[in-house]
Order: sequence, then structure tokens, then C-alpha cells
Amino acid sequence: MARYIGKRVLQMALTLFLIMTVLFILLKVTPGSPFTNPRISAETRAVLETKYGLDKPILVQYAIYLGRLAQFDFGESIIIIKNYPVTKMIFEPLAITARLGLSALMLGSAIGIFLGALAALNRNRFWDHFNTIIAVVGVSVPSFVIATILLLLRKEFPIVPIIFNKADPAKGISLLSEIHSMTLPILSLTFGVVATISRYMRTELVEVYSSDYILLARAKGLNRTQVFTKHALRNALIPIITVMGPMLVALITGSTVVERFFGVPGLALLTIKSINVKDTFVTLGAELLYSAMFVVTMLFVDIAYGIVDPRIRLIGGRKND
Amino acid sequence: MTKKVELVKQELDVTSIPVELFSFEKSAGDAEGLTNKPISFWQDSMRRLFKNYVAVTALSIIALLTITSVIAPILSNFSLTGRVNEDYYKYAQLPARVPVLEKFGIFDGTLVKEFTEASLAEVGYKAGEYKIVGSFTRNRIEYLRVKEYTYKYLDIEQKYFLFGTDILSRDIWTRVWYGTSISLLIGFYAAIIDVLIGVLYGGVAGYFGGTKVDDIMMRILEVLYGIPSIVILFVLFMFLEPGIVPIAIAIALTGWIGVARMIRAQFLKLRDQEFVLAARTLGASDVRIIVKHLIPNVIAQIIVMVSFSIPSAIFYEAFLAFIGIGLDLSKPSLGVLINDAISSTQGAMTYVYQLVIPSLVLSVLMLSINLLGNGLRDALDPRMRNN
Repeated sequence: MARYIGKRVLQMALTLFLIMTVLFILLKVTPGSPFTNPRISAETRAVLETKYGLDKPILVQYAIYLGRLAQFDFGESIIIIKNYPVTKMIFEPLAITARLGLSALMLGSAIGIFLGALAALNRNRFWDHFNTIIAVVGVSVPSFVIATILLLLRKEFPIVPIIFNKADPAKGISLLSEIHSMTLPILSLTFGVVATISRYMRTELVEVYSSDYILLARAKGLNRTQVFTKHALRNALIPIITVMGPMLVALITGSTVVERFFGVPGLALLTIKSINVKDTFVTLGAELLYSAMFVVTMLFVDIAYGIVDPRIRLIGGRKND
Repeated sequence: MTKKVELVKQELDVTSIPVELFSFEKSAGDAEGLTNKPISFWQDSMRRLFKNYVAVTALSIIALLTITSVIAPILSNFSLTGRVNEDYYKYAQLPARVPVLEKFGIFDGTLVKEFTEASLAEVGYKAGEYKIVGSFTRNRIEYLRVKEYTYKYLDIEQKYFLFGTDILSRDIWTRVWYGTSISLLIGFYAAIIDVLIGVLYGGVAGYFGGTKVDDIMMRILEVLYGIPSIVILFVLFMFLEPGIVPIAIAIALTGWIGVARMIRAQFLKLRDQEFVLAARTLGASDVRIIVKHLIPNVIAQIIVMVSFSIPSAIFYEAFLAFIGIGLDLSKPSLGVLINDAISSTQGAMTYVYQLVIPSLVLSVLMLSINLLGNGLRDALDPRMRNN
């Protein structure tokens, strides 16, 4: 096990390094510089570019960046907030987006698991069809349309706040009121989560119910509730982990559409902004964070999978290393 | 019967027996054989598909939308970007009005507006041009909900704009159907590119599975998968002129990875089977085995993949339009139109039809393609069915 994890971590590091390299080159070869601005004269631009080392060849810049990365220095912003360290800059939007994403994931998976179970227990009846409709609509309606519908509904029934309210202990704004102010963005993200999770839940539960151990449990004389809670539900939840992993990463790194629509100053908005103004280090920092989280989550999913379901051997049958 | 037996007993000269006494019966060999024409895989699949009424309905809707999207802009009196009338201020933001449906109270060319008593008097509606349908209080001011018979009010009762007009007095009917055809084209192109690259890459990796080649190819895929697609797209659009084909290429650039993975997994499974061994023994080259033996075996999965690639490409394009990269307004897709409507209506309930109509067309299109995809999957590969 330890050896497997060690090998995976090494592979992960290599993958991340390659992703970083490709990103760096991609961002550097695009035409234009952060100082391409009609208000900045050519001379000033040259001076600024020399100051930030942007006039050096790409390879040299790459080497410098690598050197800084080795010391866990992700560089600093040169446009959005002058000379502000990227790590600090990313932290706050990340926290906001993570709160938004986690709320949506928790709410969405709770509803999704419930709906999926309901559908599987009532196959080919109302709740099953309802579940199918949710799943198909979930993949057929763009998130900005859902967001618009929510916004229009909010106009008719003004029961939730609409303007993002950042948590700030100094001003007496609690974390809870921030989450409350994110009700609409959370709901628009929740819809997609529910659609995916409920579909998986239904499929898994139906499969579990057709297996022999459920038959055995019924034959032993367990009642339906016991079979469901002790045997079916637990086994059906395992594969959900694999779906929730990537979903979690996608959610806590932000949905561009929802953040833009509701004006939530999260990580996705920062990324787009930094790409637009060519604030390369900010883009690199945000995207590396995304990639790292993605790769790490996938590893955790694999390991967690092996723990909850010992039948799945991580090492595989072929090679025993 | 007895007569027959007697005859046989009496004389063995068969030729002397009258022909009428013989009856033809199926020989044992024939009964074992197949009497009907064999059904090919495709006939069987199509039969299954056409039994699935959801898939058939979806297919008809797709066909209807596709045909309309081609014909409607041609038959329309209005151009994509041109104003419907010289008097563009008057003709802006007209509600939808359809000849027969208007009698049933939908698409009847009315707008629900909000007025205070004073501002209602200021507008100067004549009798029959408006109807008060409700009232509400906001910020302690009394408002009236007024249904305005817009076409009557503007004295253009003989005119019909099926989906209404937008803020720049352009015909929404023409624009929506034009947008549908653009969206469909993008989805179609992107799916084709997805499959071409995906099959090629996944095929090679799977065929050489377990070797260094496969290992390296999979590592590359992992890296590509880890790079956020939004960065690739931004970079790409700095070099490419936005248009239908570049957008399709950009979307396919991140979409082919799923196809490649699926094809690789299938090839890994298939290449160790006997028919491949037989082909190799007979001296077939690697290319021949891949093209003639392996690809035909995964064609069903490829078709299913395409049917799911198209909607996701259309979706992705709409997303790109929303965040403001990709197609410009001269070649609007449904996504561009929706985004345009979001910004021009500013969330005003009165003009929400401008947003609802393209969203509805997009959603119905997505829904139909997804349902057809489900149907195709069930028909072509019943093992993949999830119940």
C-alpha cells in the first residue's frame, strides 16, 4: 500500500510539473504583454517589462519561475494588485468559492442521494420518472438559464438576499449571513449536483438490490428498512465517492457562470480576469491549484475506494509491485 | 394412410406410385436450419431503436428543429442583423404574436407592464389597448399590472412577428432559427473532430496497450486532462479568428480525451481476442487489423459517443458565449442569443420572452439529442443499459 501510494505521488508530481510547463509556455507564447495599454508609452512599457523580467527569453523566465516554485514562492501579481503575492491573492477568493461549492455539494448530494434512493425503491413509478426527468433536464438546461430562472423567481418572491455579502467579523457580518447571501448561487449549482448524484444513486442501488447478498439478507428475515440501511445503502454509496471527487474539485475551484452571474468574487472570476489582463503568475497560481487539487482528489478517491471496498485491489492483479 | 402403407408393402417400384399420393415434408435437416433471412446487427439495432417511442419522438423533434433551422431563415422576410422596419424605435421589443395561437391567449402580442396610476395616465392608452390585470405594492407605492395590447397600441395590427423583436428591432424568429443552425453545426463539427482524433489516438494507445508507447500516450493524456480547458481556449482564440470551425476545433480540443479513453479501453479488450489472432496469423498488418477488424467492432460505441458529444459541444459553446469568448454577434449561436438577451432585458419580466424563446429552443434541442443518445445506447449496446 505504502509503496503504491509513493509511486502514485511521484507520478502525480511529474504530471503536475508537466502541466505547469505546458501552462507556462501557453501563457507566454500568446501575443501581447500585461502592459499593452494605450495609456502606457512604448518606453515606459520597455522599462516595466525589464523590471518584471518579461523581456528575457521564455526559457530563462521559466527557469526563474521554477527556482521560485522550488521555494514555494508563486510570484506576485503585477496588474490586478501591484506586487501582491499570488498565494495571498488566491486565498480569499478560494475561501469564498470553497464555501459556495461545499454548500452546494452537501445540499446537492443530500437531495440527490435521497431522490436516487426513492427512485430505486419505486422503480417505474412516479418517483423513478421524476428522477429521470431531473437527470435529463439537469444535462439539458444550461446553468445560466437556471440562474436566470432563479433570478426571475427571486424578483417575484423577494425572500432571499441577492447581493453578495462577504463575511467580515470587523463589520459584524458572520459566515452564516455570507452563506445566506449566496442562496441563489448555491441553488443554481445544486441543481447539477442533484441531477448527477441522483442518477448514479439510482443505478447503483438498483444493481445492489439485484445482488445475492440482499437476497440472503431478506432470506435471513431482515425487514425492508434493515436491508436498506444496513446493506443496500452502504454498498450503493461506495461508487458515489468516485463521482463526488471530481465534482468537489470542480465546485470548489468555482463555476465561472454562476460567479459571473451573481457577482460572487470567487476563484473562477479571478482566473478569467487574470487571463484577460495577462497577469501570468496569478493565472498560473490559480490553475496549478486547480490541477493539484484535481490530481490529489483522484488519488484520494482511489485510496478511499480501496479502503471502503477491499475487493478492489489498488495494486492490480498483473504486477505485484 | 392405410392405402399408402399397403402400396409400399405390395410393390417397391416407387415410380409406379401416382405422384398425388406423395406429400412433401420438411426433412430433418431443413427444420434445424434458419428459415428466415438472418437479421443483421444494424437491422436489429434499428428495430430496437424504433420500438423505443421516446427515442423516436426525440428523433422527430431533432429532425423538425433541424429542418426549420435551415428553412425558416430562408423563408423569412427579415435578415439576421437588419431592422424589421425603418421606424426602429417603434418596432423594438415587440412581443411574440402567432396567427392562430393568439386566439388561445398565448403568443397574442401582449406585454405585461407595471405602472403607477399617474404614469399610466401619462402613456395615454385608448380604450381596448390595455387591461389592468392586477396590482401590488413595492416600497409603499401602489403599482398596477397592465396588460398592453402592443400591436393594437402601435397601430400595426396587421403585422405578425412570430417570436417578437429584440431591443434593436431585429426579428427574433429569424435569429433564433439561424442560431439553431449555427449551434447544430458547431456540435456536429466538434463531434466529428472529437471522434477522428479520439479514435486515432485511443486506437493506437489501446492496440499497443501495456507497452512503452501506451504508457507515454496515457501520461500525455493525463497532463492534457489536468490543464484547465479555459486556458487552452483563451490561448487558442488569440491566434484564431472566431468562427464556426475554430470554435468547433477549440471545443474538440478538450472533448476528444473522453473518446480516446473509451476507444483505448475497448481496443485493449478486443485485441487479445481470437479473431485478431486469426487475422494476424494470416499476415494482416497492424493498420489493417485496426481499420478492418477493431474499428468495426467499436463503431456502435463510437456512434453513442457522437450522440453525447454533440450536445456537450453545443452546451460548451453556449457557456463560452456566456463568458464572452468565441462567436461574435454577426454569427450568433443560440448561446450568443441567450447571452445577448440576458444583458438586453436586464432581468425585466416584461421582456423575458426574448430570453425564454432561445433558451427553450436550446433546452428542447439538448433534451432531444440526449434522449436520442440514450435510445441509441440502449439499441446499439444493450449491455450498457443501466437497469
